[in-house]
Amino acid sequence: MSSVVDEVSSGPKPALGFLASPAARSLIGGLTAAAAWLAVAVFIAYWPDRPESDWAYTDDLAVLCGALAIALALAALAGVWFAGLQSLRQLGPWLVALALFLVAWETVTAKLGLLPLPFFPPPQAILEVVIDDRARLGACIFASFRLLATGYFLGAAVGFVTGVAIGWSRLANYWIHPVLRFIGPLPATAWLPLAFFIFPSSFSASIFLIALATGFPVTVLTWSGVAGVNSSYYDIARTLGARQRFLVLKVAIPAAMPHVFVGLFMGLGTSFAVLVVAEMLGVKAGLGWYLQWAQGWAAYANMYAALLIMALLCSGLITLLFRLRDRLLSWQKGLVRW
Amino acid sequence: MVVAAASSERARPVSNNPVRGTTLTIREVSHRFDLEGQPLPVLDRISLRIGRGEFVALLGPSGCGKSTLLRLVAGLNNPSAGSVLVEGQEIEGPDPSRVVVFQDPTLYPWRTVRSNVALGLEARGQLRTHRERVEDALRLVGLTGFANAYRTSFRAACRSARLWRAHWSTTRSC
Repeated sequence: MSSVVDEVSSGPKPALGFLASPAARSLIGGLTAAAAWLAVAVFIAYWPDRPESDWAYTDDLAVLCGALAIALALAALAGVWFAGLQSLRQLGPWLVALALFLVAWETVTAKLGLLPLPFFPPPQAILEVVIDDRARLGACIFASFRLLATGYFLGAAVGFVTGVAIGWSRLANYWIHPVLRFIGPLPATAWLPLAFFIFPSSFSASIFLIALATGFPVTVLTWSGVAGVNSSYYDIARTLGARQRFLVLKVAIPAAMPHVFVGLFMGLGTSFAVLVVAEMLGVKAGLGWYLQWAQGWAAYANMYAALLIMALLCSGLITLLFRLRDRLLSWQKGLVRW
Repeated sequence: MVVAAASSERARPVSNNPVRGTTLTIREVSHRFDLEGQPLPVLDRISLRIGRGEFVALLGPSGCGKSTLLRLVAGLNNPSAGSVLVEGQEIEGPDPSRVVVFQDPTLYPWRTVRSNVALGLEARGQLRTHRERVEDALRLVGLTGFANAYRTSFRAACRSARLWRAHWSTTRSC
């Protein structure tokens, strides 16, 4: 809307009018970010590393930054014609800040060597790990993901069904609730020693632990959701001729879904923690194991690389769950702000 | 406002009698609620007979038991004593022939206006065969344009949708 106003008011001076339009502002923001990353590339390539260091991937890092700069410039130019890309404008300040951070990091490590090695490797060392060790890292990502996905879905499914059962049935509530009260607050990691000798493999033991960590919050919140359903919702359905099955599937469960999602978010958070602990202690693959292994060899660059990948994966999964929630609970729009 | 509509989903159509509807007999009904272990008496030996096609309004101050009596007629609660009879038969539970339009806003927020209207048909497994009645109802009250809206985004639709949801339960053919 503001662009219309701008065009009208800037009739006599069309050049200034364009500069004030959102398209122009997004172009300027995008080009600023591109220029910042180009500067980073030049900085990395033309200031030589400390003489006694032998970082093999300094030039590759510079090329990568340069490629990012070109991509940003292209996106900024494309944004003039495609309004969809203009929403990237809000990333601009962050992109510039990241460029500054990379320059600072590069300066105190590879260029001046102010921070002690091997604890603080330069960015190109992490790039080196990601490129040279990609086979092992890929296998670890796959192993972690398989473990997490299996345990999480199992725990979430069992937790959901249990939660509905104790929310709905007095008998189930009588028998399961005390067990839940007694065992639920116990951290899943406390089961580690027991799980590793009860289960035939460390893989199944880890799945059990992750499922346990996920299941508890999902159960409790599903239960509270089902138990908290406005009783007049049931009255309506009953007067309209609904049977028990309809009441559970079409009234209790949809009404409880917002609570269920809180449980799913909490479960996902704790499942990450249990995944890493289980991998560090028992499983011989996965990112948690890689972290432990890298630390054992004092390969700190590998450790940072694994941490970085882990952060990306975990935040990616949380984002995915948010997307799913927004899709399934679109009726809540305007009611929920988290 | 509390409305109970009594109509003839079960009653046999009587060809020589043009009046549709059913008979409702409330006989010596008492009811009390359990309030934290203490009995709270609400109805004390109420008797009432409503004939076929009669229109009855219950008037009384707030909290005097109007809604409680209607809940008993709807079959949502069983009376502590006495009996409620429809066509001489004691009621055993809720039935689509005895519908309540509730006082509180009770549209399901997770359903669109359309599927709220369709709720009764869906609950009885008749949605597949009677889908057109949902669209008819929406058209009749002018809500076709809001059929895919949710309660949260469209407040005014609530009341009408609620009335129509009840309406589909009480009318047999239209």
